[in-house]
Amino acid sequence: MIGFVVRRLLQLIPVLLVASLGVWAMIYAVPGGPVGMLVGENATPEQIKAVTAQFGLDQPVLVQYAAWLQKAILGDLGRSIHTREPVLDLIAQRLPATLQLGLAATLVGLVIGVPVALASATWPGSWLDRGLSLWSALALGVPTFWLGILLILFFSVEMRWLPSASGYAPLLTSPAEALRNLLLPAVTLGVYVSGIFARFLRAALVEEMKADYIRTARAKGVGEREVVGRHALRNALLPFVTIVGLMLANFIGGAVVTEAVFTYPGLGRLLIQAISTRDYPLIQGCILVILVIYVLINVLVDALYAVIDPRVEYA
Amino acid sequence: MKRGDFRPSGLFKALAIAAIAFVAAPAADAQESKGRVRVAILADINNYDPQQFLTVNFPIIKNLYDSLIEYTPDGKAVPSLASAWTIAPDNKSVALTLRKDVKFQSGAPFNAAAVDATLKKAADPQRGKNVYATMSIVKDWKVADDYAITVNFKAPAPDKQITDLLQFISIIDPAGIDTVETKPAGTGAYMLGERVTGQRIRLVANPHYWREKEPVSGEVVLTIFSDDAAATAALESGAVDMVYGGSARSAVRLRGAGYQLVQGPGPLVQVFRINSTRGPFRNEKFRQAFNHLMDRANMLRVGYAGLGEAVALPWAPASPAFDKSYNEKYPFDLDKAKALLSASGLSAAEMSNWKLLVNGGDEPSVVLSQIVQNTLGRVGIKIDLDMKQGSEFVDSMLGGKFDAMFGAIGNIQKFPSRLATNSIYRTSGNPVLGDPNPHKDYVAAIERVNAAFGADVKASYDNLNQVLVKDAFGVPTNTYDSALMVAAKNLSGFTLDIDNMLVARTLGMKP
Amino acid sequence: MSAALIRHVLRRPGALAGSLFLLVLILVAVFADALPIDPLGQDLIASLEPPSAAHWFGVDELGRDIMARVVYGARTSLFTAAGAVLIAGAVGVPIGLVAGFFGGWRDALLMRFVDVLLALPGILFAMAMIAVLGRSQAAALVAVGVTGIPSFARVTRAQVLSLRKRDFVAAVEAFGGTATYSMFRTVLPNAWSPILVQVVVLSSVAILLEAALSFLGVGIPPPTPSWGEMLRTGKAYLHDAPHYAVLPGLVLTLTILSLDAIGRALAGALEQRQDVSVGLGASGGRP
Repeated sequence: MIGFVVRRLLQLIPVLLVASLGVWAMIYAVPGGPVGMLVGENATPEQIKAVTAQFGLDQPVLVQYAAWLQKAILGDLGRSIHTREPVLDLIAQRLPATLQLGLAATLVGLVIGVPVALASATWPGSWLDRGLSLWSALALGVPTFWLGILLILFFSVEMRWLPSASGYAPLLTSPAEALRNLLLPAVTLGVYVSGIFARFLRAALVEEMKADYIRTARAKGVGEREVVGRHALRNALLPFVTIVGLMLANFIGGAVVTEAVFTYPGLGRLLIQAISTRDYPLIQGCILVILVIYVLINVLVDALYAVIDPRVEYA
Repeated sequence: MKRGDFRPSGLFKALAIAAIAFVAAPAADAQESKGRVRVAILADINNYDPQQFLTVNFPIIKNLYDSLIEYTPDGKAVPSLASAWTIAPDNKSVALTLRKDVKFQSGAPFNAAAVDATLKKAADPQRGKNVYATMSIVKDWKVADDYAITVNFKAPAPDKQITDLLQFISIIDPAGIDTVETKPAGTGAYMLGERVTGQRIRLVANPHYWREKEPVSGEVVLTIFSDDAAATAALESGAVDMVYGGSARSAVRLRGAGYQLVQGPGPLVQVFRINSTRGPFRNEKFRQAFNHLMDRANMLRVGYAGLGEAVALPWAPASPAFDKSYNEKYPFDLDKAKALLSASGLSAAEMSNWKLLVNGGDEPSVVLSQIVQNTLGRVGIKIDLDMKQGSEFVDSMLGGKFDAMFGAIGNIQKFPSRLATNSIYRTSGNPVLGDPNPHKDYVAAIERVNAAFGADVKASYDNLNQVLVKDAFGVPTNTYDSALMVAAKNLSGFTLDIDNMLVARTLGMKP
Repeated sequence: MSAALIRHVLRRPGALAGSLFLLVLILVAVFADALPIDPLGQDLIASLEPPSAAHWFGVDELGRDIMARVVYGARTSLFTAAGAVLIAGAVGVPIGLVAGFFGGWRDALLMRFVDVLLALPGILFAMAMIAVLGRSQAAALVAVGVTGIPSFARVTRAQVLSLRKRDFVAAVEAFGGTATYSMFRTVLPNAWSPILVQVVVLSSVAILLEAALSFLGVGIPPPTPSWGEMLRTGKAYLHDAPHYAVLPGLVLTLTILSLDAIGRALAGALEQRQDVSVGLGASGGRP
């Protein structure tokens, strides 16, 4: 088990190398650089030259990459060109907010999605099933940015119950403040994933229901609710865990639109800002961290497999 | 590979830091003894150098530092670190008398040596930053004694130009002058308490501050919000007492909801900048048509919620060159524009052969650009918008890689020749128009303003204004506030700075 | 598409309603020029006026008719979606075909390429592409199209793999059919149904992604009407003019829901007809 995890983590290294090279290639292709924004509008050419040299931006791109890589291997991702803060510190400030929102949204998605799937799969084809599948269609079809706007309109502009822009407050130390700020974005994202969860779990359950052991259970006179809730669910859980993990991984950096609606200080917006200001070390750092977490969550999901289903081996 | 080969990399360190931050909340500071003012700002500061007048640094400069003199909102010079200044009868020098009771926050005394060190930095092209250009009129300076210093000018300088310079110079502690970008070194009413990059800056009262009974509040917390909506929401929920530098639209809405709206005396002016070295813009008549193609009233109303003034010249009302009659002489008038367009002799295709560069990150610029595009369509000129954002936009702007664009300029309330510090209006080293500046009349007009004394002063301003509308490489549309202050009802003691910088030393919460 | 299939799809009320809505949307978008509406005409005095008899959806900050902009925005959306799906299909289907048909190193290489495209969230990938290409209609189209390549490649590959096991394909090969003949004449014609479902699914993904990019301010540049851009600007005026963001968002949502209903009906019909397993609709999140 530990050997498996370590092996998977070691496989990360070539992926990160390729990704970092890709990002550097993109930087080379993108027009514009960070210096203009640093020196301001009324800078003299000498000033611009000095700042360009100060950050080594006058060096060939490959030389810059080599210099960056040398440090990155030792765990130093450099400093942001704009704020001069270590890239790792900037990311570490945003990561808790991103994780908190991602986890909260996943939780909302599960709380809505799992009961919907269970009810649908218990009575497939019924009016309840059809009604609930409409819910899934709505959850997936309503764009998060529109749902977010509607929620802001009602809960912030009209009722004045919740803030129209969400900051970050740690849930463990200031729960009330965190909930106020987290509620709208988490519901917005959570409704969306609840649609994915419900559709996937329902499909998996319906598939399981065709299996022989279900027929056996039914023949033994086990109630339909128990058939779905205990027998089918246990087997459908395996692929479902993957989907949940994948969604969670996708929220790290992929929730930019929701972050933008609520002006939430997440990792995705940090990356967008870094791209906009051409803050090269920060762009690299953000993408690497997003990839690492993506892989980590995948490894975690695979490890969970073993817990749920001991037949899985890690050859 | 053995397990031992695996070492935690920096990324995992970041995860660990994040995990800790996830659990540990920023410790709530209970220092309430002398009151606290919480201000929302919309961008993090860049550094602590008071000679770098980037707008992002406006919230801190006047709080960490003091300048030699200050201006009242209507432009009258008043003492600050210099208790007196005497301009020589020939206007070739100014003698300064310095306060004797001032200490830097480090404990070091403020004296003529500190002014000397600060002037040296300002006059250095590498270190002088935004003050460097203003220092170009200075020949040298002489320290007379510990509290007296005389600055000599290359040529007779008008009074206003001299006081502008003195107001521009904030004094830095000589011991900290080399590290001033990362460590504040001033005499200001507040000292740096704590800075969390990208999140907040906490300023604490300087216990030895020289102005009596100031600062009023013991602590000022500047919290950085990523955008206007977030800052406004924080004000409405009571999480902050004031928003500094928010949008005009929010400000007007909040004023309607009972908040205080405070406008400073140092607005910016939005200018339709024309690259007169390109395409149809080389034609003077074509350029002049744009004086009449700006729907200024509606631009101000839709783009800036009406907060500001429509202007045809790049001056704020406080400027000595301000001339209201130009608004009537150069109104929004399609017939006058059409007459000039046909007088240009350009074909319709030639007139449409350009793009309007737009700063996509600035909502008012997007609005103004679309209004102009629509107006141009009505006189038969069809153009596209070239939307750019962030660095890409700044690079195009600084490199002069555009045909035309909207961009704001500052210092319009100061001595008129200060106009020439703004990129499109520069007389030499102009990044858009190049060297030598193709608008010789304009260069001569600025030089005449710099050399004018007595009766010629007014005439030199009139001449400059005429040249500005004739050469028409910059067509102003309206003034607007760069740093609106919207505050809760119980915040009082606003001190208005001539540059609209944040002055916190008199701010206090009413019980 | 056969008449029987169409009948089958339209028998579902959701899919029927969705088809009608889309039909109207397409007609309106195609013949927008013939309608008495102007998406660019400004009436600055009327800025942000609420819905009225003259302007059913109200007007925007520049006094433009929001309904006209929604109609022309449909044109933008549909055009982007069509172009993006075309790009994604033109690249993705051959990748999946070759990877699934030949297997081996070709499969490994091509699918690794597809994995790279999937490593970053699609929206970030699209934003990075737009940063390189500059902001334009073409850039938005290409960026959205490229993010759609993996799903076409994967669906095609999966279908090809399952078809290769079928008797008729094996029979063609046994009778000496060349690889190319077999790939294009026997496998591809039988793989089109899940690809068709994918076209519908990806159209809605493309419309959403284009709107999201515009919402983030990097999509199709103004003054070209775009639903996402309208939501972006509308959000800034939530306090003064709530209609601004609400109505364009409603049309966008109805479009997505319509495509989803059609896609699911199509998948259901095809599944019944030939027992092909197809993806899960808009989620598409299979590992």
